[in-house]
Amino acid sequence: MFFEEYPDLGVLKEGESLDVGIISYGHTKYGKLPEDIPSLMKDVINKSILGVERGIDSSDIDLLVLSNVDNQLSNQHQLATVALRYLANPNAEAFRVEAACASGGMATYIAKQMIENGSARNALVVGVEKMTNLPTEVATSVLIRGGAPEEIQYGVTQPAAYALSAQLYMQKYGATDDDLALGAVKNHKNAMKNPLAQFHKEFTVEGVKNSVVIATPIRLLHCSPITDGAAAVLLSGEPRKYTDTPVYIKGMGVGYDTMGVFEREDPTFMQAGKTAADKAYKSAKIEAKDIQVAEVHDAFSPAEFMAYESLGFATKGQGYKLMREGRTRIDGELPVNASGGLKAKGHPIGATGVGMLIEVYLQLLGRAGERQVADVECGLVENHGGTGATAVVTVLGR
Amino acid sequence: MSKKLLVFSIIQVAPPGYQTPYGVGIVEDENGKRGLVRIKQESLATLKTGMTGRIQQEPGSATGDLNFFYPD
Repeated sequence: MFFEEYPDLGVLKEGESLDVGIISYGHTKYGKLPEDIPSLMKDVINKSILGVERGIDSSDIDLLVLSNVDNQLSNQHQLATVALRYLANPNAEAFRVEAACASGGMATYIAKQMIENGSARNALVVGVEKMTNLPTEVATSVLIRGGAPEEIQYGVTQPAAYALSAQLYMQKYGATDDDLALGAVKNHKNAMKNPLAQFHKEFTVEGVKNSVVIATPIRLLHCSPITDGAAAVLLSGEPRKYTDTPVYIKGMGVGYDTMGVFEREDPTFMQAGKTAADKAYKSAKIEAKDIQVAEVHDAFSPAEFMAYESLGFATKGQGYKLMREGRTRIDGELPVNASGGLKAKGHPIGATGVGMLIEVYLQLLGRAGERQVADVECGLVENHGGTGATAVVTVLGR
Repeated sequence: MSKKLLVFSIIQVAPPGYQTPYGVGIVEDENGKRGLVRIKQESLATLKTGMTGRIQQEPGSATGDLNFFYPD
């Protein structure tokens, strides 16, 4: 029936592409929020539907993909079906996607694929996580599950897994404790201009270096916080039908690596990010040098400059120098994490990848307020899970 | 057999059930094969990257024995 109604969609042949675009979004503030999960989802779903420039009927949104990481955090099964309540389309299909911190990117990837293969016309991608209702130590025991089974067995927490990778990087390439701190300093400064960010407080390099040790050399202020929040994007296979200002998904790629840092041939390099970026650049027909603004997954500060390398912004072992030279500051040649990043904007895991897309969407439309980067036509999002075992890279453009 | 400690981290904040501080590391044998190790609190002060040590299997996890690293 669907193909009869929409003969122009249907399954794409090799080399063909459907211009899937973002036509609207919803985004809560990030932080410690009083709302429960259903309320957070309802908020961003309503904003997404009501925000469509020319309006959209719920019956035209035939797919909802929910990004949510942990049932212990949400205390709810069938969360996608709960979200369907707020879409109010009894014929829509819904399911939940989990890929640790990459869940939001992966949910978007699947929604895009389903539009491209004709399974949906318009798809709502909803990311949500409620984390602050659990004691920190319990949340930590949930988060450790993002590692390899052996890492979980040995008590290698997420900060510790990044610590092992960062230590090896520092030994190999000469990055220092100051370099580890610079990402946190930059992103906290950026978050001062983001009203939706969890933190509005700046730190110095010394302040970061003097914060509490979590797992050497990772300190508290290298770590993204525990956060509540939700974000949604409404994707369409016919974006111009709904808005004069769509933002197109120009390219998207998914990549994988071993779950454990210890298993990697080069534990200092995020191969999954490179695989995903290569695919995204190829499908967008661009190169890394064409990216003008990026949101990258700084769950722990060293991950940001390591991502510069996997994305091709810097060569191997040179990513930290990009940050040291200020080239990724908001006034630099390639602003990265203008939103404040996971570090300061916050990291409500299931919502994170969706929220990152929204930041670049706003930058492309010139609607990023005080943190707006001038004349952006091409932006990138890198969203990864665990210590980079799963990565999703998205290239967005007008 | 002695193994080389490629890298380690001393964990100060951990989920319930772990007695902090404790160490975790990646070791490598002479054939380049890598593995994870746990490092006990009493060994932490002497740890250095590149040092060698012996590996001993001991109870240390609810799911079974762990390889513990003891510096030479």
